Amino acid sequence: MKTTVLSLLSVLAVTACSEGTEATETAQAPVFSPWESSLVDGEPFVKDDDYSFSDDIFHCSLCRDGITRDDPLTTAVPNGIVWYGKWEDAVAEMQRTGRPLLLHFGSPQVMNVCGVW
Amino acid sequence: MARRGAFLDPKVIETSRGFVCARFDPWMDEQAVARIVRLTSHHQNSALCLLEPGAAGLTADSFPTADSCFWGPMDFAPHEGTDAWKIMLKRAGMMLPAMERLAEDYPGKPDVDSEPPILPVFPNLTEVLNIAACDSRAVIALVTPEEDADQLERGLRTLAFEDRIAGRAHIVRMTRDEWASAIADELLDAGDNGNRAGVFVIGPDAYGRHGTVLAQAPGSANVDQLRAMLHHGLQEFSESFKKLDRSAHILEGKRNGVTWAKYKPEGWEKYIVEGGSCGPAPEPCSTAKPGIE
Repeated sequence: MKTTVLSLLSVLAVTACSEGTEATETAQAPVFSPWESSLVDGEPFVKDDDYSFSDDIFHCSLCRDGITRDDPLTTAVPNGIVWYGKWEDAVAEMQRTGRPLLLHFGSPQVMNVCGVW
Repeated sequence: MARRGAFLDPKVIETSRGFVCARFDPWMDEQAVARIVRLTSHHQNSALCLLEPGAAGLTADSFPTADSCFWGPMDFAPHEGTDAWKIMLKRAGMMLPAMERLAEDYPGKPDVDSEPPILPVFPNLTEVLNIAACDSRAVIALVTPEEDADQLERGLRTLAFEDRIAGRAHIVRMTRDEWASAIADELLDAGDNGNRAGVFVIGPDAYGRHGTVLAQAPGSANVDQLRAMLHHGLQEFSESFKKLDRSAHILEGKRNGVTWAKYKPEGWEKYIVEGGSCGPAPEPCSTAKPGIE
């Protein structure tokens, strides 16, 4: 029951967001909305059924599904995002470059076991 | 198709080079707790958002709220384990288009490459070892000597975003005293580099509780010498680092009593208030759990 209610709330929230964007679009230049774009024929758009937003969430989904295959973090990564770990440095670099900011919070422990998102 | 996370997606990584990317542990300290509560209105383990350069709250002494975000904040806590949570996961697949749009709108100032970037560092060795183990990356430690600090740091700033180095290690800046303490506390096995300044490549263990120096360059090293050392150290790390898959890692950690008790966020309770608003609460919320022993 709780699951159903939450699902409905989520769909309603997405619909409301889409409607708000449409209203804006009639008055101004088209506004990009990744939230609206995530709906295809009223259903959540799935870029890739195995795709998720973050290493930690990605791994949580693996754990929840009981699937442990193809874990890419069992060996050293060949490339990755360069992260600033201090807010003042990130802000200073953003002001220096004029580039946008990708901001992530992640907890580097699971059930008190460290070394894992 | 192999499962993967968005942060490991080559297109996301490539697009991220046009961003300033900041990552924080929401349990690290009271300030971190306050920040995630300010962004998402309640405390949780994960949040993600994209912000335009001029967004409100982007100053050194402030922090953005949800209203400032161009995209997100993706906020999973209220929905975790539900169908809504799955919908949000799928919606998160749209992060890349949002990033591409922002990168197009804000390509950066024209003279931005005339100076090397500010060095992307984490606050301390304890934290960065754990995060590096989580990410399956090495650690680069800049142990600051008194006389060559500027030259060394400038060299590392130049290299931090270079191919074959960028994204393969997290960086930490340390004093010689901090370096010596890390060795004394057995956080670090530095071999015969105990009293030296310079740049070091450190391999974390699988649980991020200990590091071993794999390569080092002295304080007098120039950029080319630094580059060669980093390539060598990162290659050695790449050939030697192995971790169990996530489930086995957690199970083995539990079985062997591995716990992450290096830090406790002092004062976090006062930011967890009923309804999730930000600010000191009259009484700590009794239902909130820190998740850390």
